[in-house]
Amino acid sequence: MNKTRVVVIAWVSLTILMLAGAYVIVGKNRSAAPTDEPTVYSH
Amino acid sequence: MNGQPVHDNARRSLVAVVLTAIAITVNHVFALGSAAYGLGAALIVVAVALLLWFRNSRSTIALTGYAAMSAWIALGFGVYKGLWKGVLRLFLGSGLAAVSNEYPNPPVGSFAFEASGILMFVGGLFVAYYGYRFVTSVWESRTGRPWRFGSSFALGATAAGLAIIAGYVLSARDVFTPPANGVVRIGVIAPTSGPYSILGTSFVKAVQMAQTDAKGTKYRYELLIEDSGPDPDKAVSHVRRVINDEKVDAVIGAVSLIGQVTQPFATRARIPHACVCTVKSIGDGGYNFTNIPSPEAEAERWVAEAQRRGIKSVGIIWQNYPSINNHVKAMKAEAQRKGLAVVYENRFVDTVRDFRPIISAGQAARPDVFYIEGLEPGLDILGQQLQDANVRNIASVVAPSVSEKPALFEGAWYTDSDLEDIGFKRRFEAQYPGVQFATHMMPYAYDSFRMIVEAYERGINPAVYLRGIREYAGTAGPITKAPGSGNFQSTPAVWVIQGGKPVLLDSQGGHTPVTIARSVKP
Repeated sequence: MNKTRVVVIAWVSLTILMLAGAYVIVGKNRSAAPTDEPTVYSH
Repeated sequence: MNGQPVHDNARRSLVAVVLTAIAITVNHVFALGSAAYGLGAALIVVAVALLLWFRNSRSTIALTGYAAMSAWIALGFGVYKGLWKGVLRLFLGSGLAAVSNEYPNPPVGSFAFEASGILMFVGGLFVAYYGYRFVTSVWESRTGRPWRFGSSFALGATAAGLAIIAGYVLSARDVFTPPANGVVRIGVIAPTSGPYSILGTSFVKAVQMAQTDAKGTKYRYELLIEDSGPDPDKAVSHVRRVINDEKVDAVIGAVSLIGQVTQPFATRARIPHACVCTVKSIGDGGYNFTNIPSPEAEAERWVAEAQRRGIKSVGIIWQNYPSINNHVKAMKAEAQRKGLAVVYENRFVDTVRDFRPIISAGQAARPDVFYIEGLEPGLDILGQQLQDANVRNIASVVAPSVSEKPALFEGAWYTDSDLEDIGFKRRFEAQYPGVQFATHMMPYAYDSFRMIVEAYERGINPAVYLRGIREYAGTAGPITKAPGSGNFQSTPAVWVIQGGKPVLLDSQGGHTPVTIARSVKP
């Protein structure tokens, strides 16, 4: 296996790991966030 | 084109550009809306056009244009937006905030937003790599010599990556900076005109009282008072003036509608924003903090008092307003938990002046108590019409204390701040005769100023100081905050309108006004 292929596979694996990590962080953040009544003003 | 390597690298480079452009499009939909599709299409069309031009003409201009575009995608979208504002914020930022108060909790978006940021970063790397391979293979085919600088480029890229990570760690940290000329400038943003002017004015006075009380301090504390007005859209220019133009060191704000406007400005300016408002999502724990009893705490105390009084059913009449909606939502949830029946509900808009049909319908439901909550001028009109309808079984959260005519609510009980230090209220009224004391806001406005002063006097970045507070001896009883939270919590008490004035009940439901319990000096 050439070096480029190894690097590509490593980055793809790292990307999958990062996506999984993002999923966990977003989920944790959502469950911890206050649930206010929808407000009149929003950005 | 010259040679197979050029073809292969050009094809791979274009694939990387197209895939990254898709990630860029998804990521920018959240900020640009449908314009993001135009951005993505432009990136792809221009890249394809430049590559076709190069293939047909071998033009150096086309090659340079394509290389420049690849560099823009790799650096602008991949490194800056994908890595710095995406991956490093999400992972490194969250990790640093978990271990040190010197780092703020980063804002976290939806999974689609965060995932597209990650893909933008990784895609940018591939765009950079294959763009580099493409350009160097063209160089090799033109010169007939092998490219010998690959190792140097790899080393340079690795060093740049490490420098970016180190740069993020250093730049994301909030450090204490002594104020210029020894003067700390604190913005006070509140609606002192319009329907919330009573609240806003008394809020400002409470901060001014705290400023007056802050004697013998190392630094001088100046207030920049700004009337935001009641309209959040118009408040934007006021908030921008105070934070962006005047560059204050901290902000103390009032009223949720305005706090929501201030929140992103404070985050961008990296200054603390202590908001005396009930919309908890304003308090993100990074730079924004809410400081007032939570709707849940009010609800818990309210329902406990209702049960103590033998109340089994409640009719609710309330104004559609964020903080009031949150009070009612929490009260209904707590009532359901404790078996208190809600037999009538009516939410009115601020333009309603004839409440008689609403009151009649409520009376038909025969609740044990009417929960009413609103803001002036509707509140007192509702109070008058309740009195005219001979409705005396009234309860609330906070509302009678903000009434201009509390006598209209004679006998009504309600939850409000546990103002143990009644001397605070007396001092306020002596200092600012004629200014209404809004019990649910004043102690927290006063304490918010104290917290910021304490941070500077101790040589701690004020945002870091606020993040680190777990317990605080507040003017209206103990204030607590969970690690990572942006919501200071405090427990309300039960008040009653007697003789046309608010009287704080003790925990046994007696009528003993609480006397001075602690010093309120900063």
